[in-house]
Amino acid sequence: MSLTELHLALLAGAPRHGYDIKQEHDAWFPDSRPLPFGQVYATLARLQRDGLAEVVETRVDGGPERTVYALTAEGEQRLRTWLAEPAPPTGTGAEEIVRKTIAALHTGIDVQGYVARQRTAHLRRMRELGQVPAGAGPAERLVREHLVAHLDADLRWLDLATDLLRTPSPRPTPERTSS
Amino acid sequence: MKTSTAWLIARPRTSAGRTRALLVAGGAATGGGLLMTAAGVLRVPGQTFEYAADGSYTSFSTGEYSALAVQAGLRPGLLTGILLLVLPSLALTWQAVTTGSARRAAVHEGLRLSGAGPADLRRVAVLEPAVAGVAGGLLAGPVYLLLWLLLHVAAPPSARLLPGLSPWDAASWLVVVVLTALVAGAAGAYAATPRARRPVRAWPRLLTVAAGVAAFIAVVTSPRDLDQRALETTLNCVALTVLALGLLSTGALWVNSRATRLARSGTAVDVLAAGGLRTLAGPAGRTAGTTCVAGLTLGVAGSLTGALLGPDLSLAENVPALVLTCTAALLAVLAAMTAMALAATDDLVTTSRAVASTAALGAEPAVLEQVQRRRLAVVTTGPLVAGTALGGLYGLLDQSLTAVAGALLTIGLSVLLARAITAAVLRVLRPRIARAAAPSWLRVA
Amino acid sequence: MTSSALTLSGVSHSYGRTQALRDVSLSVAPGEVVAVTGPSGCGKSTLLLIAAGVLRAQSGRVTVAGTDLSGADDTARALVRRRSVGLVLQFGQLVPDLPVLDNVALPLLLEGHPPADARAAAAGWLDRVGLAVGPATLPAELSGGQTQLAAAARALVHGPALLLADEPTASLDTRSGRALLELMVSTTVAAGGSVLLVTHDNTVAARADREVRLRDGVIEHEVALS
Repeated sequence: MSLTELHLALLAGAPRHGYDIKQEHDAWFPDSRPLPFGQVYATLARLQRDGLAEVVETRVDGGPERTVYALTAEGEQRLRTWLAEPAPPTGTGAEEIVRKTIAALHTGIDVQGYVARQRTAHLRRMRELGQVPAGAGPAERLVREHLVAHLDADLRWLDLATDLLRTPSPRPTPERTSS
Repeated sequence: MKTSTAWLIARPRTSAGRTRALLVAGGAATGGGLLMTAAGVLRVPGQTFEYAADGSYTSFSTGEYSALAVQAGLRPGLLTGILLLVLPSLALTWQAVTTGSARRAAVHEGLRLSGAGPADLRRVAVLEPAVAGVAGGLLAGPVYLLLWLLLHVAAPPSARLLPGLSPWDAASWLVVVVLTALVAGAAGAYAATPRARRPVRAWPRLLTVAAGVAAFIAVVTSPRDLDQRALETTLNCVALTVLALGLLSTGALWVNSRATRLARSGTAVDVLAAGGLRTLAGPAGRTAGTTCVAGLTLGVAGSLTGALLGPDLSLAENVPALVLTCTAALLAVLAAMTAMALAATDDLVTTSRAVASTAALGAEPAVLEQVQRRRLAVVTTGPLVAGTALGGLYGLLDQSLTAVAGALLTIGLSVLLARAITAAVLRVLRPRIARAAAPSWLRVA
Repeated sequence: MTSSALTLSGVSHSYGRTQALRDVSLSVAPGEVVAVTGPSGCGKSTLLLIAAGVLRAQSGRVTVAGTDLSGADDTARALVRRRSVGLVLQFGQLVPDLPVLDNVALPLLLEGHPPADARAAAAGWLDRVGLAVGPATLPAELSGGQTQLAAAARALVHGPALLLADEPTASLDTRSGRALLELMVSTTVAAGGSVLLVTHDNTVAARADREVRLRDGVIEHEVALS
């Protein structure tokens, strides 16, 4: 389940508490269902149990008590291993490729390598799908074409992602008036 | 590559290609026929002199020919006049060989990608104009025959310019055929040689024009020397050739400078016209050059006509000369018109996509026509008037009043002529403009 | 190294101040299909033109079918192109004045084959790529897609050992594009030839055995897809 690794990625930038993680997640994936608090705390507890994350601080500033978590070395290793593998080139239900790419872009962990591996995995799959066995009927060809079209869409999105990464969008600079 | 293969590739197929081949052949035939005429004039027995002991001399001539061809003082003028006729036809041939440069570049590229080497490309480029040149050279014979009928058979003895037919004519015909083939082929090879686009250096060309003008003025104003007629003829020809080459080579400069001015003026029509002119500065410049050389011939012809109509000359004896100068003027105008029609058509074919895009952007037909008119005007009015004015120097520097009048009249006439030619060519072009604006040119291909 | 169909080593090229290729090395084995991909302006078309000997690399060595193109003059490079290379460019680049049939026959005609034979072979290839034209049809009468089909036929007619194609299916619809690509690749490979595809279309790249990805004139990565 990639939700575990995703939490690791959310923790990779800086130590965070549960509420931060939920906010961050919802900002990374505006299109997906907001992460329920219950799930965040459950996942954090599991991470802590497995030695992937640790509690570094307990903050009480006026409000409710907040536990701040950080990645352990093992957690970091697990995240890197996850990002070292491209998402399975399924074409449809592409949540995993989106998760990984976004996680890679946010954490900055070997982004170019990740994109290249993902591209290769997709192209290899597309190549396999292109080798239609002799005697395949039009229906089977169409199923393959459907997958190829989705993989192609993934790859184009990936290209866009790398391009955006190379040329960061210009930040609006405060206008200066000269007199 | 076999020559048959080269011919298979080079053979003109489209109507534009055939027109071009016809013009090359026509120009070569006219030029060749006139060169044969010049050779014929040289065969006319000249004056012979018998010097007396006291230094005075008596001249003898057979009396069968016009004084123009016989008298030592007049013959150089006649030969120069013939050369003046050859120049516009050569300029036109050169322009015809070099038209369709965009298309030729596409042919070149397609062949190159298919594996044609430089030698193959040269062979293809040389073959078409060379064959047209041979055809033109062969046609030069009939052209000469026609002139011979006019200037020998039909003319009264006192107006004859050409001697009877002789084996020498056959020899000069052969030389002309070889010459036109070689020159047209060489022009084809030159036109096809890819050259790096460099900014045109103005000074050498302007200097050539200046040298040509200086030589021309020197020749016109120099005293006629009886003893050095061969030298004078040579000098005349050299001066004219230098001047013509200079004018031909400054065409692109003129077009570029006009385009810059137009682009700055800011109206849509001017800016569009400037854009077209700048991308096709080479071909447009050649048109301007040809028109200018035609103007030169026109100016000289006008001055000569004026001079020949002078009160101290016998009209009857000068009829052939008058006919010759009028033919020269006519030929010059014809060359200018053909040059422009050729250039304008070529221009439209090359820029069809641009014209179609402009139309697609919302330019109405009237605007497209105005753009074409503006472009034509750039290569017509200025060059023709300038050329005529230069040629008119021939008359303006003459002492005879009628020559001055003739020159001035011709210069004035050239302004009207430029407008008339532009209007006529535009009229012929109108359906083509409509065709160039057809949306089918927008297709990606 | 001599056994490879195409070898580029340390090739650099620039247009004025724009560096199109920077120290690119690449080799294509006989029977191999390689896709060069990358964003627009990454130098992939320049690479193709250099491989075809149309452009001369400013530095580095280029070997096609055992001939070193870097030192060869224009004639020698044209000979290699005529005998061993089939070239398909994005817009077809047919000779405008020649009928489509003669355009396709051109590599054979240039090689000195009798016109009748060359035209018969050309007609066969036009048929195979699925383009029906009369003997006098001119390139101007074709659509963009048809022009690409004709260009592909012209590149295949002489059975080249190295097929070089720049976006060969860009003007075609998905189905005809797929069919043309398959025809070009399978016939060339079946005859022991190699294919270098330059494309930004992933479905075209997925037909290759290997992907070479260019960015800003440098090879970004190179992976086997088979």
